[in-house]
Amino acid sequence: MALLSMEKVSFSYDKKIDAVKNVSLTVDEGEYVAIIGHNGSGKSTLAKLFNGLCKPDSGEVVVDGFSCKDKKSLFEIRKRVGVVFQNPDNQMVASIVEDDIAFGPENLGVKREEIGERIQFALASVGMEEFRKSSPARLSGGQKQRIAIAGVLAIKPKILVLDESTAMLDPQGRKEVLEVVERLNKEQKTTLINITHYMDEVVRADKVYVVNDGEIVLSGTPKEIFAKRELLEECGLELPVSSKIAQKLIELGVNLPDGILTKEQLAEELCVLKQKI
Amino acid sequence: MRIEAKDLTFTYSKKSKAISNRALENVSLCIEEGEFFGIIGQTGSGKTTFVQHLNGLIRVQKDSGSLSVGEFDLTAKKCDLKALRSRVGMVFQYPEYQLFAETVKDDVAFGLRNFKKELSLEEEERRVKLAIETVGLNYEEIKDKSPFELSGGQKRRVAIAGVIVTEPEVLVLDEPVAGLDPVGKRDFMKLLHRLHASFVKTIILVTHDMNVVSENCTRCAIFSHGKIHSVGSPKEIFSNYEQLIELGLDIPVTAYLERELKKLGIDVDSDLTESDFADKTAKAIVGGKQ
Repeated sequence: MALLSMEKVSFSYDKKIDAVKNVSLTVDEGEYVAIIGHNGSGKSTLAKLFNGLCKPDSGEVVVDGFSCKDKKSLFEIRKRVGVVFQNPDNQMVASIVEDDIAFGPENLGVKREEIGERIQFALASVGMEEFRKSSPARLSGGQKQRIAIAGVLAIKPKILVLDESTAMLDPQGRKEVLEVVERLNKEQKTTLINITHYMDEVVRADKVYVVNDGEIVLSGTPKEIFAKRELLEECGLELPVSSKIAQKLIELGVNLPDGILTKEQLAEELCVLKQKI
Repeated sequence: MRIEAKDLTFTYSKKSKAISNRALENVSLCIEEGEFFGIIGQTGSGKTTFVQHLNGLIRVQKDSGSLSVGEFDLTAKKCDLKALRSRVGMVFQYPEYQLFAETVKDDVAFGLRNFKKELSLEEEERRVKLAIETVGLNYEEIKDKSPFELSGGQKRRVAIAGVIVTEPEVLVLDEPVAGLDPVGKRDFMKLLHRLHASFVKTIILVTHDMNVVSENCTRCAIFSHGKIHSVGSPKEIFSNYEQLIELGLDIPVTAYLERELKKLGIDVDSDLTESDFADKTAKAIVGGKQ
């Protein structure tokens, strides 16, 4: 059974325009799912539907057997789905990093000794151990976001949802955060849902959903998704930089195969070509 | 307006030894009029502290070097900051969070009313209209709307309109494309080039996105630990792959590929823009076959 499933879910903020329209999707345990779409496509609303921050107008969201329709399961759903949002400033609740991270587990009634361990684990996971006693206000945007992620990790959620959480980080910070969450996905089997519009973050996902105007217009592996260049462009998206360059080279008569997604692949293919000359 | 910083040093909380933090150290940098200048560096490397000096949001500290922007000497005590700020526009990170007025029109006009009090209402409206149209929005459709009912991309455009309404010669943007989707980003960069071709003479762009730098900038500077690590054209800067990795920075995809191809004996030698790279690589590979 899927760990998270959405069945014909629709949701509207103003009861006029549907932000999410008739969306059905499933996420299996341990899966790495990416959701992409342009600004305002409804992908952040999906994140809020995953953990019950928004309640569907119709349809059903089921997480680990708990339905959003049942009011009593809300707590159980939120325990299982941790969301890291876009802006770290909106997610800080305490004036000391460790207190901020403790906020989640404290609310869940985790024992004091264990909270200490969880703080340690969460900070180590995001590489911020030395800032345990710092004030979030004195951290940079990227560092704050890593603390926000640690705060979610401390709840030990089954599903980690990143809602454009790397948008403000520098390349190094982004890489670190992605390494952390992808490691959690691989080693601890944490299910990962990455909502993003960085196309190169998508290439490592198991499954990709493309959202446009509140609807899922495309789903498949990254390779399948990026083969549909026109459709992506209609949705306000584009190919990863390496795929774009590969496309240009193909148009200029270079004999490259289809489906190149990363710069490493492209370099390798060019290398193969060179050897044929 | 030429920008010249010499040995610029800045320390946050200078008076308290316990928490003082040196953000800039002996930064010397010249940015010529007409440049599309990129500033790159890791989080906390001093980029933002540096650019906030440029319109006097952060004042040059005593005995901490000098800074001039055109005819404005920012080291002098009596620098006309108001005049300076109307000519050096500053767009912060996530500028859409700074919208505050009831209507788009009022929000955009705010800067104008502060800097140019003598303007007639007609002239004010003309300029506001021009600014809103310059950022690619429909004036009649949007002018009476609340800025808060717009989409993210529209909000950001309105915020930019509020800065360019005074027609600054220098436009400084701190991470302007962060959070925009691919098409939004592409349109935004087009907008910057349009501005650069009209009244904005110099654009200074703080960014983490190396592909944006290689596609758009004439020159760039790398900041590291409050110092300038290097200055040059994207080509010069990104040829130093190992050093950049050490600094925790990335290189553009084109620079990476050029480096890999060089190992195979193909010297592409493009200017690192995607189209020039593709053209020259295709020539090197397809041409080599014939």
